[in-house]
Order: sequence, then structure tokens, then C-alpha cells
Amino acid sequence: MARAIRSIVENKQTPEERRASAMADVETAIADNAEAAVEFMKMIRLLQQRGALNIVNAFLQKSDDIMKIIVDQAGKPEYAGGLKNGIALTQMLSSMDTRVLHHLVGSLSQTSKAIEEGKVQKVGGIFDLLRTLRDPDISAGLGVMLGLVKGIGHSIREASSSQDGTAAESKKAP
Amino acid sequence: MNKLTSESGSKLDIRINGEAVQAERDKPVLLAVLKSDHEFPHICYHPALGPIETCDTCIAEVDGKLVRTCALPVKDGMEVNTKSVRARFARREAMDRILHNHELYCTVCDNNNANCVVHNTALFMNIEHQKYPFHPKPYKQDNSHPFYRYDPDQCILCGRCVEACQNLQVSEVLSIDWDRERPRVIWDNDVPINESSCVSCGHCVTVCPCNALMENAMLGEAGFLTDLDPGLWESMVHLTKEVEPGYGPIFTVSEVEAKMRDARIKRTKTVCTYCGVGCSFDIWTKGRKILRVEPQLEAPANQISTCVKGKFGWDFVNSPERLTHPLIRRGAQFYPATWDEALDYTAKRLAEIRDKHGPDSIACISSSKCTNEDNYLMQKFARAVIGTNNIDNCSRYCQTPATEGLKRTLGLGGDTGSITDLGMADLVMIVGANPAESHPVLSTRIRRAHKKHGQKLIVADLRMNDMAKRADLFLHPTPGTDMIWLSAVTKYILDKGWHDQAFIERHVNEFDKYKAWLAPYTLEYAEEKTGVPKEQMVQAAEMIHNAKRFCIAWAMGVTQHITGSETSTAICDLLLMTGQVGRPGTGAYPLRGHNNVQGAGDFGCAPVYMPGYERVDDPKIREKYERAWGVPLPTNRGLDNHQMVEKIHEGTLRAMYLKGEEMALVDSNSNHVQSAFDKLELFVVQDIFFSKTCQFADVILPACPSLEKEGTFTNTERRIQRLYQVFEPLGETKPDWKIIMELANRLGADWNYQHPGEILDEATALTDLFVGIRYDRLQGYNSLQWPVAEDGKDTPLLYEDGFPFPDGKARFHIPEWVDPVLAPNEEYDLHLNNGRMLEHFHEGNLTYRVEGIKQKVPTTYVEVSPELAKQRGISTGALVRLVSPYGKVKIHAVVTDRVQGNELYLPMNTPDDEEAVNYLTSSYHDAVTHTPAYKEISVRMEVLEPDGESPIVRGNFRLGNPRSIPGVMVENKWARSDYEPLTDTQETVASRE
Repeated sequence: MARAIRSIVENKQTPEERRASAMADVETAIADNAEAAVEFMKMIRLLQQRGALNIVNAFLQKSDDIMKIIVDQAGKPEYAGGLKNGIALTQMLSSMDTRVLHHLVGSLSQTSKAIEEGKVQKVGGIFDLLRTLRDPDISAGLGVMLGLVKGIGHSIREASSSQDGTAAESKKAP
Repeated sequence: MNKLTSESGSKLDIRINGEAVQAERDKPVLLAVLKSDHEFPHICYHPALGPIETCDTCIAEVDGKLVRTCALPVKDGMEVNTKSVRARFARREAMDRILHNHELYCTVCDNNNANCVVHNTALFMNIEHQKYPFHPKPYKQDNSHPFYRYDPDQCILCGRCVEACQNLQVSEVLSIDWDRERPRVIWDNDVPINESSCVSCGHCVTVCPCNALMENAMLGEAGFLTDLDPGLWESMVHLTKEVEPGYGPIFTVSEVEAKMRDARIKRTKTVCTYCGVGCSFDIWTKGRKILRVEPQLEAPANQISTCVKGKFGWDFVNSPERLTHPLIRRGAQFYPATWDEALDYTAKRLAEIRDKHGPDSIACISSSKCTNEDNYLMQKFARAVIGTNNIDNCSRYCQTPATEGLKRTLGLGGDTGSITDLGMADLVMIVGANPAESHPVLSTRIRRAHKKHGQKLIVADLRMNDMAKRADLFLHPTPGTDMIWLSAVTKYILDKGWHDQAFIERHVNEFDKYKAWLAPYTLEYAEEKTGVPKEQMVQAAEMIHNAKRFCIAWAMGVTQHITGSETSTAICDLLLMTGQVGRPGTGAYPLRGHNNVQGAGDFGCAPVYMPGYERVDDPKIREKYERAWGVPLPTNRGLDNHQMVEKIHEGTLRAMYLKGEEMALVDSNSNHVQSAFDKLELFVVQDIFFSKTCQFADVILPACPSLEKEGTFTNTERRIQRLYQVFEPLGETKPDWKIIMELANRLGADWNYQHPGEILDEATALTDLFVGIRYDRLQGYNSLQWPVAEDGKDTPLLYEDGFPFPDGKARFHIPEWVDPVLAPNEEYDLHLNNGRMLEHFHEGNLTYRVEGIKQKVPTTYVEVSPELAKQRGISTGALVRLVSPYGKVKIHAVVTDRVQGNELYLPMNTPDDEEAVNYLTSSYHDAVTHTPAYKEISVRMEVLEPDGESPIVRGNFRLGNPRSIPGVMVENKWARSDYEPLTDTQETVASRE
């Protein structure tokens, strides 16, 4: 005889039992990944020693507020301009011929080495300057710089002409 | 047929950008272009919807003219140039106009999942700047609906959603109001979504090419940076706009973010467990959270279609009310137990009862909601472990009579074709079925064909349901008399000489006998018995005569009568008489009610059939299984579930093992069934919730729903499809097949299945019908429709090469007429019809645990006709008591012209004892199959309160006002004064068709 009943005795796990079963799960997980767990603890110790955990905790606790401050600040024209420059610079770098960049960076480090070693040539007066032009290194470098100046000028002139309305833009719906 | 969607045609030679290519005749030029350049822009075109022509992004120069390639059919010798300056300019301009309506904040957008059409198109087109700055529209987001939201500010007005709603789902709710200064999508006559006639099918959300329409469950969940408080979120969008020198970098970041999402969002293919249509889709999850159901074009039954249950009805899986550990009855309470305790106890008791009273004192009931593998093991358990043929499943409650009718006449117990055949037919006749609510996705194919392609529709039903409203001819017969008017129509066709003589001579036996039997079924007689006017039967016959391709779909309005098998037979006879079987677009479609009704029967969960409908009483078959299973098998005839109840009352059936069925509420005459359960010595119930049936159990075993297990389902098209595991089993629950195996092994079985695939391969290898079905042939969205030959060749359309009888011929079968029982009389004066509603499934144990569905439809109700309401002095909201000879329910009424006269309608969808219809139904049944005559019951109605609050609450689509329009009506966009054409001609698909 099985009359319809609705009453279910809940599986009454005591808080201690729940805790014990959770602890058992954690133990198993650690035992299964012993090596990773040890490494992880090392990292935690280092972070704690350097005070980094403190900072991270504070940041996480207040993350939404902090994000809002940063994002709002970053959105202001003056800072947004900076970010824009950053992006523009990145774009410029990525569009440059890597060989040219290599030469440029190479020459900079050569120069600084020369400065360190006190091997920088002194220029004494305008004639001395003119004389240095005969040096093939100086003449090649100057050529590059003139090219750069020309490029900048071209870029500026183009931008100002489009502001005059030479580049048309119209409104369009929907 | 719509030529610009996706069916195959012959090949033509055209040139694209100077190169000779082959393209399919009548297909859009766009598809030919996409073959060589898959990044070619197109936003509003969707393969399931065809050309919409709103976005202008797919423009190319064809034979010197700028045209939308989505809307232009391929013609021989065409010259297509996608790279000309004019074409590129036009596409670029089109994209600029789109971005005027859409803010690109992809990284903080929940739709940034690598499949956003607008994002990807902008990326492929190398869009760097917004030519027309984004301007917000003067409308707020619509967050009224529990499952999805509309953000007008992100809406690009492509109209995909409108096309899907008007012409694929055909619920006709959405439109674009092109007359406003800033157009937008509106619901009904511009009401909040949740107050419209929206049926929540989700088509619009699925086809939206951006984030304008999003599932609420995705919002703030899909992205890493999208769950920010609104102020911070706006600041982020502002910042991205401020610093962006161009869209390039933003796309890079969003691409990276989208990739990161892959790591934590899992996409798993599954098959729906609601209804027999067999929709399959990807389900997106994050941990145990369900983010989205994303149907795929390659899904064989539904493509991108879903209904409210498949798209949004899955949260029950995480319900806190799930059973999570076994329970054992002790005294008046259930106590938690370990699996070992529960299974040991069950095995011990079963063994005791078997030893004392014999194996036939035990019965097993399997489930049409469980997988084929679960079902195969359940019948193997009954036969090989217990040693009885007492095994059945709930298809007995619905479609067994249809199977009987089909087997008598055509030979095989399944739909003769596929859902695509229903879409292809010139005429569909629906008898006693309400597919718009019970088989929603299947019904979309009929509605679409009816609206777009001129398909004709006949509906015979008691209720003016959605399909009836759309029908070209609606027949309302006296309840339970369908067999008579169907036979009269058949006779009229024969008398007129409209029958298919050649087909009958070649393919059908018993013509003369059947012809003689038909003689008394004159129109006059039928009109007298059924109340259907002669003219309507003549009209039906004429429509059938004029149709080259004709399908009949039927369901429980036919089968749940004492003549269920007979009426099903009459339907098949009519199809044979007109030669409407075995060709594309023709045939018989008994719409299966549950996801795996077909499979539960296919895999042997019936007393007389082994898997593959091989008869238990055939010694050769039995020997085959005895060899395979290594045990002797029972020879006694088994009990079906109706007989089981009787045998419990008689005291000879003492124990029952039931899984996945709410038998206490869904079998007819619930009081009678429940009092039987009272008498069982041992009742083991396996379920996912503590159901009404569980209340009678001695042991309750917690099982897994479909999302927590693997296996296969077989849909109404005989299509077998695989589901993959989405979640780990909750708590201590286990998949049904594992539970059955562990119980079997405690009774000495020694089964060792590691995976459902092994079970399926064992099951199919033993049958003729399914021999080619192999688990590894069902990977991903691959499916097979039985019969399947050894080499894997399946059969989407049955009987193309004859019928499975010894002489290859079908046969007319003479149905036997019996007058309906329990017709209205003086004491019980109202006929009580019953069935389903769209939002809920079965008794509602799953769907009432989905919060959004429960909000929209919190309860069932009884529908009362306006004339009856007037006569009894009640209005919507009245509380009434319905009393039958078998029991009573108390329920709120809704006055509606969906029902007429003295006919009531009570949806079965309630787990509430006070309201469940089967407290009213009887134990009368179909003579052959024992399917209960649920639809033959009369009641009296006692008014408890004459009025009250309507049980149909705000959010119920039945309160809305749909608007049928041709579609997105792009002409209205083109007619706007601010629209400058980008093509050289302005010709629509509509004007060409």
C-alpha cells in the first residue's frame, strides 16, 4: 500500500559535514595538481612579500569606481589626445619600413656610444660645418632629414586644404 | 516555390570579374559571387529568408547595370563585375548609411561573438571611418519581454526580423514603420513587445545581424566587459569613440575579445525535448548558465526555426526543485538514500516479487522523453532481466492508433515523408490537430507555404485555432465523427471518378471490397451524422481533386477517440484512393506529440514489439534476441499501460518500474490510475522532479534531463538525431541508461555499456529497419531517416518503390464505425475537448519551472463559447467547477469564440490537482490499441463565481493584435524623400514573382 505522500525528509547535512565535504574536494584538487599548487603558493608568497597582494586586493575591491575614474579621465580631450597620439605613434611605427627603423635605431646607439667615449667631432664655425658636409656619413644623414621635413610639410598642407572644404562631406539619412 | 531561397537547379555559364564560372539557374547572383569571394558584403540577405533588399550592401554591376545581387536570378551568359569603381562606391555608401544607424562599440557588446554580421561586414570592407555620424533614434530600448529586448539605437533597419516574423514563422507581429522620420521596428500597432501578439518563437532574435535584438540571457553575460554599471559602460563607449583614429584598432581589440569568449562560452549541439518536430540547435552555456539557443541552417528538421519552448524553455534544468539524490519511502515520509541503498533495495524487492509471483507480476513503463538508448535498455531490462513483456510507453496515450492505421494500409508506422513535403504540397488537410501550438515549427512550414506560395489548407477541428483561422476551408464536425465525413469525401471522389485508377491498379489491394463498404457513406448520411454541410464535403473533395500534391496531417483530435485507429485508417484509405503517397509533397503525417514518441515505439517499448517493430510472438525473432542477449525470453503476451492499471486493480500486477512519465496525471481517469498506484507492492519512479507520480513511489531515482546526457532521439519524420552532453549531471543524478544498467546488474545482468553509442549500435544491428543506423553516422547535425540500409542509405520519403508487404502493394483496409461514448446528455450537457497550449509542455513539470514562461502563462483555464457564457451568465475570469462521472476540477474560465456552442476546451498543461483535465476523463479506449478516449467526455459546469480576474494575463500573445503584411515592404523605404537609389533600376522581388 503506497498512499500519495509529499513529505521529504531533507538530507540534513550539518554545517560541519558540509565543511568537511568541501574540504575533501579541495584536498583532492590539490593532491591531483600538487606541483602546480606548490608553484602557485610560491608565487603568492612573493606577491605578498612585495606588497603586491595588498594593492591588487584594494584595486579589486574598488574596481568599478577606479575604472570609472580612469575611463572618465582618459575620455577628457587632453588625455584622449595623448591616447590618440599613442595609437598614432603605434600606427606610424607599424607602417615604417623595418630596415629603415633598424638603421635609425642603430645610428642612435652608435652616436650615444661615441658620446660616451668622447669621440664626438667638434665643429668650430660655419666653414668647419661646411667642411663636414664632405663626410659621406653626414651627407647621407642630412638627406634623410630633409626628406622627413618635406614629408611633414606635405602632410600639413594637405590637412589644411581639406579643412577649406576641398574634401566634401554630406549628410545622409537613414 | 520561392526560387531565390535554396533549392537546387541546373547550372548556367556566367562570368564574374572576367572569370567563367558555373552558377545555378534562378538562384541569386549573390550566391554565385559568394562561392569565389566569401567575404563579399551582404547584410539583409539570409539563406532561410531570401532577398529582402533593404541594405544595398551586395550591389554589383551586372551587364553594365548596378543591381542588388541578392535579388537578381542568374541568367545564361551574365557578366558580373563586383570590382568596378561604381559598384565599390555603391556598396561603401550603403555600408556608411547602415553605420549611421548603429554605434560600433563591439568590445563592450554582448553580440561580439565572431558571428555579428554588421561587425564582420565592416571589417571585411575595411571601413575605417563613419561617414555619416551615428545619431541616436528618439526611442527607448524595449525591455518589456522576459526573453529578449529590442534596442532601436542599434537597429540598422534591415528587416530580417520582420521577414522572419511575417513570412517564416508567420505570426505576423513585426513590421517596420517607414513613415516616421526615424523608422523603427514595431510590434503589432506599436505596443511594448510583451503586450503584443509575439509568440516568443525567437526567429527575430536569431536572424538579427547585430545586437538590436538580443536574448536577455546574453546581456551582461557573454562579454568580458559588458557587465558594467550603465555609467561606466557609457564612459567606455565614449572613450572608444574619443580615441579611435579609425575602426581598424577597435576591430582588432574586439576580435581578440571575441576569441577570449570562446574559452568560457561552450556551444553544444542538442535536440529539443519538447514535441515531435525534432528541432536541433546549438546551446550556448557559461558554467551552468544558459546564454542562448542558436539554431543552425544545417539543422535538418527546423533550420533556423524554434518555438518559445525550444528557444527559451530550458531553465528548468537548473531548478532548485530538481531531485538530486535517491529517496526511499519509510512510513509517511521519503528519506534520502545513497545510490547503493536505493538500488540494492529496489533489486531485492523486485527479485522477491518475481520469485514469489512470477515475472509477469512486474511491469515497466518507459518514456517518450528519454533517448532511444534509454528506451532500448528499458525494454531489454523488462524482457531479459525481469522476464516479462509487460513494457509500454506513453505513445499509447497519443499516437498508437495512427501507427495502427498506417501499418494496416501502407505498412510502416511513421510519417510517410518529411516536414519539407508538407511545405511542398499544393494542399494540406489538418484533421484534429493544432500544430500551431503543439508542433509549432512544423506549422510554420505550412503557414509559409500558404502565405507565400499559394498552398491550400483544409482544417477539420472543433476549435477555431490559428490554422483553422487561416484555412481556405474549415470543417466543424460533431465530436468523434471524423471517420464518417472522411469516408464520405472518399466515396464522393470515387463516384466522380476522381480517384487514381492507375495507382490503385498498380499499388493497392482490396479495392473492390473497400468500394462496396463505402456505399452507405453518402454525403446525406455524413451530413446527418457529422453536422458537416454537404457543400463543404464537396468543396473538400474538389480541392483534393485539384491538388497534384496532397498531404494529410492528424493528431490527437483523431487518435484519442474510441475509433482512433479506424479514423486513422480512413485517412490512409483516402490517400490511397487519390494516389497521394510515395511522391514528394504527398502523404500521411501523424504528428508525434513528444520528442521521442517515435523512438520509444521504434526501440521496442511495447508489449508486442521488439525493436524495429519485429513481433515478439514470432519464434524466429525471439530466437534472434535470445542468441544476442544470451537469455531465454518470455513467451507470454505482455500488458500495455492501460491493461497494467486494470491488472493492478485486479491484484495480479504487484510492482512497477516507471521512468520519465507523469502517469498519475496524464493517463486518463486519474482517480482510477492513482488508486491503482495505491495498491502496488513496489513502485519505483525515475524522474527529474518530484512529480505527482512520485508521491505514490516507494523508491525515487533521480535522473538527468537531456542536457546532461548523450544519446539519440527520433522525431516525427522518423529522423534519428544525436544530442551531446551540455552539463555534468546535477548533484548525484545519473542518465537513465546508467541507472537501468546498474539496477539490471544487481539482478544478475552483467551489462557493461560505457557510452550510449554502444547501446545504439547493439540495438540497430539486431533489426532490419535500422540496420544502417550507427552512432558514428550521426555526428554533429547529421541525421538518418529510417528505414536505413546497411550502407547507411536512409529514406526521407517512404514507398517510392512500393509498399512493405509480401507483394509490394498497399491495401485498403475497412475501418469499423462505433458511435462515440459519453456524448452529452441531460446530466453532463457539455462536451469537453482538451489538448495543449503553445507555451507549456504536457503536464508542465518542466515549463512551469521556466520563470519567463510562467510569467506569461501562469495557469491553465477552460475556454467557454460566448453563447454558453451568456446563457450561464459568466464572463472571463469566472470560477467554475467541471464535473464528469469520474471526477471534478475547479478552474477559471475564458470566454472566447475559439470554441462554439456547448463545447469546452481545457488545456491539459497543469501540474495542479485542482485543474488537471484527466480527473474528468474516462477509461474508455480505442478497441485495438487501448489508447484512452480522452476526447470523448462530457461534463456539467457549476458556476462558483460568475466573474473575476482573467487567467490570461498581460504578456499572453492571445491578447495581442497581429498585423498581416507582405513583409518588410522595402518599396516604402525607397519611396522616402531622403532615399537616394544606389542601383540603376528599382525593381523588387515581389514585382518579378
